[in-house]
Amino acid sequence: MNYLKLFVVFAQIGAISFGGGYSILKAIIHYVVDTNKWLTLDQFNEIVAISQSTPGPIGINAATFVGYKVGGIVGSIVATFSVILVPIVSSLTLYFFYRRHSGNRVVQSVISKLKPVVLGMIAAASFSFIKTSLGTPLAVVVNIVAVLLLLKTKIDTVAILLLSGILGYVFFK
Amino acid sequence: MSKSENIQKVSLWKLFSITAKIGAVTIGGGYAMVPIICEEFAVKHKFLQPEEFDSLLVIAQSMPGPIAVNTSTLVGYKLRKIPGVIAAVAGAIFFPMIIILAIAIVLGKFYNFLKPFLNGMKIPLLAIIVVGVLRLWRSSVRNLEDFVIFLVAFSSVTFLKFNPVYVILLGILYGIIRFFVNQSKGE
Repeated sequence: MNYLKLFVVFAQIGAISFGGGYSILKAIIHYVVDTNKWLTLDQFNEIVAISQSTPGPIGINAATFVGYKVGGIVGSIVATFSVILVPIVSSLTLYFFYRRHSGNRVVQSVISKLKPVVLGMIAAASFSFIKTSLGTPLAVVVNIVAVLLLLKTKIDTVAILLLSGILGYVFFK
Repeated sequence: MSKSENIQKVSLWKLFSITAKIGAVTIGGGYAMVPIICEEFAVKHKFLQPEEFDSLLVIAQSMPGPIAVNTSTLVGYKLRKIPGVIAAVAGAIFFPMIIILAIAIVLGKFYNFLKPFLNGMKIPLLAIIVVGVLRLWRSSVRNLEDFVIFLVAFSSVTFLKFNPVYVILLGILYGIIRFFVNQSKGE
């Protein structure tokens, strides 16, 4: 039963993908390439490359892609649904716990100390963008303009992304 | 806690369309989505207070899964309970799925056509993350201690390549220790 197997495998991948992005890749290599041989390592690397330049979390992209290869459109839906199942349920569970105990001072202390931790990790993500974002003089200009627009105007971030996508046709031919 | 009562009712379609819009354009992993989710929900539409968003973010990051999915889950729940979760998460994964399927089905052709556009969209990500961090700064980093924690978390992930899970766990441990130290000092 391919769908059931997809479900089990991707639910597991979703359950162990702490810390986002790259921990999920290791899990996918283990389950999809090594254990089930649904993809070769080359095919997997290709997906990673595609995923890095398409929108969305890499775990979602990989699940959709592998699901499609294994079980067509239905397979892609099954795999994608499975990979987000545990994250959704566990986030909600922790949220309920937090809400119930939000008056508890230990919980308050933990949350308030975790805020700068999480912000630090988001800031750390910026490091992986330095090469693309500051790689060429034009990219530097785009980033400076983007910072100014974001801070000084009410422009949508989405609009900035779309505009620079159009720029891509000019500069990445 | 029951502050959520004075939040205006958001339609499910609105939730879906906001996260779908974000999901359609954020290349380069889930972290890039966070500042935009914050902008849409806490700044532009004011569905959430920035401090509320911070707390949701902490919870989202403490659990497995793409941070964009977890954050959408919690924002969706906060605003419209379980139907809100479904709408927000469906939105977040809608375009990523469609685009990958299109690439998988029509093979490379579609991808080659889209590639310059997609690469172009990667360029301002640094600016977006930096501005996003600035926006969350005031509610997350309130004193010198928080600033030190921020620096330690930032450098341990960036330079020491620590697994984020351990960084979170250390943060939790520190929060607990800090509470008891405070208490024994205070009383």
